Amino acid sequence: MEVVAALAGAPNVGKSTLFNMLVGERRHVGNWPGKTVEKYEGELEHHGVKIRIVDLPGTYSLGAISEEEVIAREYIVREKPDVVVVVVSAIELERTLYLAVQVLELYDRVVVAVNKMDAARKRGIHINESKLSKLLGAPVVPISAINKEGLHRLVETVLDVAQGKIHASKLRLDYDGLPYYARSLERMLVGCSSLKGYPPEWAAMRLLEGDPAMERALREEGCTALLDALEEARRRAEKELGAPPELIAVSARYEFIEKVVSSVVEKSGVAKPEFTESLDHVLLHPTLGPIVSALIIFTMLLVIFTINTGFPLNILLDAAGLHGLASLLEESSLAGLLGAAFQAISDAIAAWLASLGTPSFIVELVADGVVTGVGSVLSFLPLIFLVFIAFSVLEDSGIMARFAVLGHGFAEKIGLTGKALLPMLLGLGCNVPAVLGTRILESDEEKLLASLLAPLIPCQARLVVILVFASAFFSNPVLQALLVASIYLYAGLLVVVLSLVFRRLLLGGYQPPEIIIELPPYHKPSLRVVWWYAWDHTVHFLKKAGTLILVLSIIVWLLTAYGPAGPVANVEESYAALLGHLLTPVTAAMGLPDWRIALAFEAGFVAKEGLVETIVLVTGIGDPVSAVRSLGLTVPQVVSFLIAMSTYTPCVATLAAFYEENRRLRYVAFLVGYELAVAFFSAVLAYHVLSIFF
Amino acid sequence: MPEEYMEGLVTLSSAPPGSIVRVVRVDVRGRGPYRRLLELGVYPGATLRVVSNSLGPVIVEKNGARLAIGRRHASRILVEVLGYWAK
Repeated sequence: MEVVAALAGAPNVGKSTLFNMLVGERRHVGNWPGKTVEKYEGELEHHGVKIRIVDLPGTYSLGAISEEEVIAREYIVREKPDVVVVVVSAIELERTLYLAVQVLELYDRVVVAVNKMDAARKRGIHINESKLSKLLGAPVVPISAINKEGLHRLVETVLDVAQGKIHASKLRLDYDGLPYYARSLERMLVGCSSLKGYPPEWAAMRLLEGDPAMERALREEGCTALLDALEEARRRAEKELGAPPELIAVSARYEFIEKVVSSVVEKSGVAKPEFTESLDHVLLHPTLGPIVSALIIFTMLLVIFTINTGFPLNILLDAAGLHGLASLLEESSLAGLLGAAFQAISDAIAAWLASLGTPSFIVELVADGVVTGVGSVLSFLPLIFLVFIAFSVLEDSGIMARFAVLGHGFAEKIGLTGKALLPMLLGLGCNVPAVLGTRILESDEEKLLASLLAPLIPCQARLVVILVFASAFFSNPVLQALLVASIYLYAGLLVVVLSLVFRRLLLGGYQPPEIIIELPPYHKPSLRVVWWYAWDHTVHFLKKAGTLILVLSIIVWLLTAYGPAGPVANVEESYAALLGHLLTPVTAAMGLPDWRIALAFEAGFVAKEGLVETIVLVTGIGDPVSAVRSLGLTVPQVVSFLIAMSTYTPCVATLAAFYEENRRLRYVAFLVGYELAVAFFSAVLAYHVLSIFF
Repeated sequence: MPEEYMEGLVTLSSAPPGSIVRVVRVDVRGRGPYRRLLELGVYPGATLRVVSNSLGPVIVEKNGARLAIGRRHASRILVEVLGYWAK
């Protein structure tokens, strides 16, 4: 027999931690059918019984205001899981019980897990579980998911409820005069099939409270009589009871919750001056806050960059005369290790195939095309993984919510909410997590806007290209820094201007909504949770986008290895070069008539790292800086190239991420199209304006 | 909201930091945000502590749970100042 248990809970109650602790490695991530919201499922076995755990999206209520709430509610009503485990937080019992109350009103096979008992104990908060269980009418299990405390008992209780050994009962609250108005609606509901499956009494109350999802369903079905009656009932209830029905309903729930909390929670000892209090003092300070936040993000990016490629620490070490240490750092960075590993694998396979007498073009196809293709898929992963780690640390610790509050004022000016700011900033590391990170945003408009703008932000790969060009053509470090800074500033300017344009022309004058953000208490991020989060997202991305990136890398390799005359020894005779020549009229308008640069742009489509590699390949000069210098570009040409490079089409991986988030090919086409246009015109302008001075 | 101004009441956006306030009215526009605020515990009769109120969103605390409310919303929430929080 298999038992299905759904996990429900408000954001920040530690539900994902519980999920991961319960199922360990036996979990997989996907999407809810037809949605961009992630669906986590996993399995565990307990005394020979298989339990499938479905992690519902974190929601504050079942009120159908957001997509997540609709998903959670529909799942409970339509799939009827054997048990719903509602996770609440012992340190924020009042707020997190709200969802539990709603679930208990809807469903009778419920277990309430009170999480974060360890933190509660430290703060001298005691919870009388048997009393809580009695008041809620459902079994209550105190747990500490992070310490694996109480999990055994939780699973036993889940099985007891599933097997009918423990009976929970639906919760019935006193809604003042509301049920009177709901009853007339309830009778009419029988004739409307779209809400079948919902308990009629429950559905009638929700409708009275106002429920966009249910109303939409009724409208689509053509149940206008009920909708008219509903409007009338709402109007009458508001007039006769003196308050809107939703206010009466929410107040009744909180009244109940307050009564419960005051009778089950006992506080002892003196609460220490809280950490949250003092850290919020700094982080939410109007002047100190932004400075500290900027420092945190900057430091994180530096650490990510250094682990990934060794830069910028390697340059500092080099400058300090520690050349050995600098190159050691580069070699032991993730990108260095991966590169070396794939070179070794490619060489070994080539040697092995050659020893079998395989024709040389097959050897090359496998060793250079396929293995290098796999390598280029994998070369994305360290950066994506590291940025996800940063994301997860910031989110899990509660810092992210503070960033959102702090940055909201600024984000509003570019048409986004504060929540969008962190994904965008992490785009400085890698655009893939930045685009995937926009899923935390609430409205579809904002998701689209943020994911269209995020690819404009120069990632680390582009930074490396910029630095190579800066050091190839400028010897003065001040000028180098000025060049780098101006490319970044230009990207920032584009974000501001294009946000305005998109909102006007694309999103019908969209304005960012006002924020209501919960600020969870700070806590030390759990390494396991952080690891799981980053690992799951990276693997999920690899599964979705890996094939696409691999195929495109192989195509690009084929283009460079083959020409009209078959396999070519020299890239100059390849299809890629031919295409490069075809593209030169376009690049020439940007002041870059060299076909090798057009070729580099082609390679940059797969990965921006490929730009410099291609130049190394076609010039035959091993050192990137010397290779680039041999192109003999003038100042206007360098600037034109760098502006075009940092704004033209996002790499394949970013496009795959963008498609994953927005699910519409025409949006992907629009993203590529607008970026190409912006890159072209910016570069043309930059070239001609600078040509006046140089 | 000036026409509905009542004696002794202020908007949440002008409640001083450190004050303990009781929510009197929530007039926030839009059903979504209105419901969200209620569900997160900002409903008439609820007692909140104003943690900070300077340039950005107003930050309030209710039984240890903190919430940041955008200024436009906060200016449509009417509160009564009950007293000040002593550290």
